[in-house]
Amino acid sequence: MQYQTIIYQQESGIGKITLNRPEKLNAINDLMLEELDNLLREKETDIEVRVMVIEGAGRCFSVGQDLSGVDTAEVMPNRRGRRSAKELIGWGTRWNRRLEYIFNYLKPTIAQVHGHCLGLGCYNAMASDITIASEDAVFGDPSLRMGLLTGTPLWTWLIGVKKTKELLYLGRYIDAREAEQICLINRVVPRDRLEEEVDRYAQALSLSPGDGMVAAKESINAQMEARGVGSAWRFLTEMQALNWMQQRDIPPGEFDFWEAREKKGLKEALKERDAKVEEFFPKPFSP
Amino acid sequence: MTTFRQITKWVTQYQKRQWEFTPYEGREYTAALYEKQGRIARITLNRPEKRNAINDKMFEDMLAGLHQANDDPEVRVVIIRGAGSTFSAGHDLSSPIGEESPPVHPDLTPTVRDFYNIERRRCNKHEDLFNFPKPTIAQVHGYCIGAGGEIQAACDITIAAEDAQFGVRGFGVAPIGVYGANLGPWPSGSRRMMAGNMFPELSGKEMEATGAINKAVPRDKLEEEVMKWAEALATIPPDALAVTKEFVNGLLDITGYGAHWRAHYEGHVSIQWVRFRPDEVSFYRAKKYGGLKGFLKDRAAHATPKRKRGS
Amino acid sequence: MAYENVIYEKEPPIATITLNRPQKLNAINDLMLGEIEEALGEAEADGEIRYVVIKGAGRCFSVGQDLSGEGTSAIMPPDPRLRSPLASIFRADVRLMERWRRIFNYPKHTVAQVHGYCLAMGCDLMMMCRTAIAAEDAIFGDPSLRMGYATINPLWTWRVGPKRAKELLLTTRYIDGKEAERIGLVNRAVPPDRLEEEVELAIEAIDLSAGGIAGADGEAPHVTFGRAAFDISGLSAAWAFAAGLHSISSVQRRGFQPDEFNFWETRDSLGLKGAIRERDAPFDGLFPTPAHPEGGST
Repeated sequence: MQYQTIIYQQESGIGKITLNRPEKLNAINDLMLEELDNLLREKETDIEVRVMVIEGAGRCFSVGQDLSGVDTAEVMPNRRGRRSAKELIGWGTRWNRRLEYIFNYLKPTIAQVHGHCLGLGCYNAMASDITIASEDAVFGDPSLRMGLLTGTPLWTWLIGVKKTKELLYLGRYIDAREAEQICLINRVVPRDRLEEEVDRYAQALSLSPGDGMVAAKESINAQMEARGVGSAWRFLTEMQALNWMQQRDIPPGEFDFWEAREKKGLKEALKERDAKVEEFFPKPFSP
Repeated sequence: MTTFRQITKWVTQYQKRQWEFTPYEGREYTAALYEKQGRIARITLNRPEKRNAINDKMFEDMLAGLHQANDDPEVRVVIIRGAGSTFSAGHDLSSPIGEESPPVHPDLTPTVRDFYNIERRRCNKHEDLFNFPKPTIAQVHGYCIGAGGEIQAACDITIAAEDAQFGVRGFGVAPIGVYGANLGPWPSGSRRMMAGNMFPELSGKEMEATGAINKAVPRDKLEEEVMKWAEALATIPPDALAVTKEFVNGLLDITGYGAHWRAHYEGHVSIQWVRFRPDEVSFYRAKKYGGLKGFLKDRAAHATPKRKRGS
Repeated sequence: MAYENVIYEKEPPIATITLNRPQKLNAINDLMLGEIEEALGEAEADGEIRYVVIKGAGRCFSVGQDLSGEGTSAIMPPDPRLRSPLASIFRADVRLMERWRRIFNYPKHTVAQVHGYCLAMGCDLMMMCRTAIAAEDAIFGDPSLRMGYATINPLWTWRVGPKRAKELLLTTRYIDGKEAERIGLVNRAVPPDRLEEEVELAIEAIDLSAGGIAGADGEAPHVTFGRAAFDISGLSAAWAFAAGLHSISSVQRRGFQPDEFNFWETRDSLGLKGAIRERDAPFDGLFPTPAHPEGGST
């Protein structure tokens, strides 16, 4: 199959998905979302594929949802319009199903992260089994800066409540070292060794008997399920609906992303979104 | 003989959040102070001569402060800190016999129902702080022991001085580091947290490494750092932040956090039946014969040496 | 009581259980696990004992379950080529799971003192203990998946979180004591020559704060609610899942692809040592096993 926004390669049992919109820092739009869905579904039943790696082309892994408003009805709907509860729950369910699908994917998954890994990009990395990042990687979820709820419940299970609140409340960005220290990711390596290190992990994952691998992954995910992650996806769907309704009337004086984007364009809107917090917490660095 | 019922006015207060019961209009804040600077409210635990040991008045003042901060639409962030040398040394063990803060005195022959009543109230106080609708920051320096640690844990963000001392000291009840778990990162069964069980006192720096608090800074930078966080938080859309807080706290409840607090307080109840061997330090016995100072001295003789670690 | 595969010693308030098959690197067989349980029972019944230290004799803590296929019918699933019914494998796994669970819920304070290898079932045993102190050069890991087995121990995500759990279990990578401390698998890693002493100090510290001040009675609620914390957050269900998935992974009837490593075939042709060497060789090329403090290999 031909893909426009992603590239798929496969070599000796290791599948590699490259998010490929480098000029947009691999921002995820509806097309990419759909192509990812299709590709993952197609490869899941392919017994030749033993490990799935996901990476980003160009300067970074992914800056997250495409905020431009063009071809983003699914990944980042304009939340100003009135929508029925049915629509809201439907959208939230689809959103969570996608991440849950990656989380429970039948093959072990590795996220190979360099540069920015924000928002939906970060959720994807969190949902994959192992995340390996280069030293220049930056993780974060700036959703709340524009009044939006985060898009994954995995935070507290991965990094504990205090760190979760720190990252979400402030939309704080952290570098790879800190991410590794708080267990958001597994490993940090120099940029030039990233590919090699991921390959090492991928090979190790491809060596064990495939049936055992499925059971072993399922066993760990079952632990997570027993710890409540299953209910958490659903809880997120509901809170997302509530959050969506909040967007209908943003109080005067509050930052209104949708209006700012309309009036000043995306770049200015993002600048305005980040300026206030970055006065206190500057970005670690811009790769 | 005086009984528990005669001396206490305690009632269950489950219908509302505890701070909603505590009026602030015309209140004279003494044991905890309330002040407001623009969008930031500060509650200062204020019994420095007692190392901010918590008695009933202090908790009331704190709850009133939370109530006031909640009602004031201008307030975006609440900071909780301690006056003097310390954040808080925990429950005031010298409180009068009828107070809620120290463990219930056995001479009052309380019933199991009485115990549940008091422990549920304690439990609710901390849970209500945890679920306070605006973001909260604990600014910790000096000692942060026992119930002080729980206040800190219930806040959203904790910034501590590097040399702050976190921990639990038993006083005739078991150290709560394990089944309280409130001091550690949650959800977790990680042994990083359990280190606190083995060595009852951890410095701010060590707590930062376990992930149980957000940041440790040199003591003289503490105030500045906390204000930085508070001012940054004040720029975040408050309604969406309230939803996010509800969401994150809800995730914790999914993992059983609520049940866990409850188990903690039920632990307190069952501990009332602990019997001490002659070589063990009993709070009541030691206090009876040597006063509070005598007890503290006895306990110190038993306490873990601060640095027994080899490295 | 006389034990064959463990040594039981007591010096109140501490009892010590030493895994004692040093020539087999303390590989756990049916007899040893049974004797660990008996020794724990003896310590539990003994009013003078408040702490139980578990350690290994000789060069290591334990390399895990005995893979020789002899005397291991209770702790190892049957050779998959025998095509045992899933029901019998599952029932055996549930029984085994219940045994581990009892060790986890043991009412007195267990302390694992770890040096050298602490692999697979040895690592499970360490994780069941309430406190674990390791030598900095101890080696942790679970290579069971290399033979196709999922773990029967559901504590991993509690101890080290989901990301690290998947990394260690799915890649079957080994880590040393220092890293184990950093990720929360053990409480502390100490210089190897100070291990014994540090365990004593730790017990003294626990005893002073938990025993001496709270009273021995205070230990009861402490343990009850400490353990309950795990079940509140889902551990009961996780035990059941783990047993079920372990049985599924143990059946291995159709799943083996021709190019996949088959432990039983290899053991038949090359013997146990050869099979283990063959099993580990490709992994060692990717993730070299940390050097054993005294040299040599599993």
